[in-house]
Amino acid sequence: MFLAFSLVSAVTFSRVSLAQQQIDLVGPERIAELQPNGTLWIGFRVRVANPTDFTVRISSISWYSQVDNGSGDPRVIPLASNFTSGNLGLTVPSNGGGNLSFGWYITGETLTKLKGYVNFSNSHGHDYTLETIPYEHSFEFIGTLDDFKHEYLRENYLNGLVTIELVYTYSAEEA
Amino acid sequence: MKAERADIIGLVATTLMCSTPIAFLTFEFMWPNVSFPSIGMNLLVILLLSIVTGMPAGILNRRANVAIISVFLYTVLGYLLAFLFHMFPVVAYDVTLSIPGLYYAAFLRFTIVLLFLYIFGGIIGAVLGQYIRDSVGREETKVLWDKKPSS
Repeated sequence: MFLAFSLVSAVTFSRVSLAQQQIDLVGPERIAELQPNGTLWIGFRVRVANPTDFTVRISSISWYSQVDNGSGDPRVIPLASNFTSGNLGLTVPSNGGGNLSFGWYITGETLTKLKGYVNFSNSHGHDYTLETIPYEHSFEFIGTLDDFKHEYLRENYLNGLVTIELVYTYSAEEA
Repeated sequence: MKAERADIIGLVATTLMCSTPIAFLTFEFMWPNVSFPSIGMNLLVILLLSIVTGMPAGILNRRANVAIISVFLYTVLGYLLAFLFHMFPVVAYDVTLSIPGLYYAAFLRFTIVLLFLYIFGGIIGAVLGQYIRDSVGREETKVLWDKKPSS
């Protein structure tokens, strides 16, 4: 009997360890579209692939986008940010996955700064438009597998075993 | 002390039989969230189960010293089995799966507490098992002596 319990537990342990390797971000897309009314739309899309038998309960999703302004003032032009916490009860279904997309309209002063960035960069040999600026994106996904999350405060490693943490970053150096 | 064949058989049987609860309890103590059934790292339950686990050692072995040696042996085998269960993802699926360093640290950290409970509970269980064995033996003798000769 105890041998059967041990085997069941060990198999679950194995599947959880394997799920850590299998759940991944697929096909991240960085989008910048100039709207007919002159505003700029900054977007990010990604698919969380979950080929495992476990449902992933989302603890948090965060995304932000900015432009590295080099030595200019300000040094960074923040564009968009989005944070989703766990109390919304979002999940990524098992044996499939889920698509996540974020978007933000850039208008007013920020758009003026971006136009200034384009003009300055182009005067120094670049060939940028509002749609081709190397926008930086940073995305982080944290979720837990099924109901394996543990409430012990002392034993945090238990939640480490079942926590899925996926990070995507795209910086100006990669452009 | 000379080991008899019955002692060796009892020792081996006890070691094999009682090592699986120890393996499960050790694994469960490390990963209560993915274990089934989960006893939630409850030390009192582990002690009680250790006592129950030790009882066959007293029942199956005639000599008390062999029973106590078997407690040590099944604890060692149980730890080895638990270690094997921890290696299961690596052995069964993918040798490149990384094992967190904490895994070893936790094994070391938990060893003292668990070993104490297993050995202490096991010896108490073995003593209780010997009591049961003696009671059964006395009862058998009584029944045999009380039996009226068939006419």
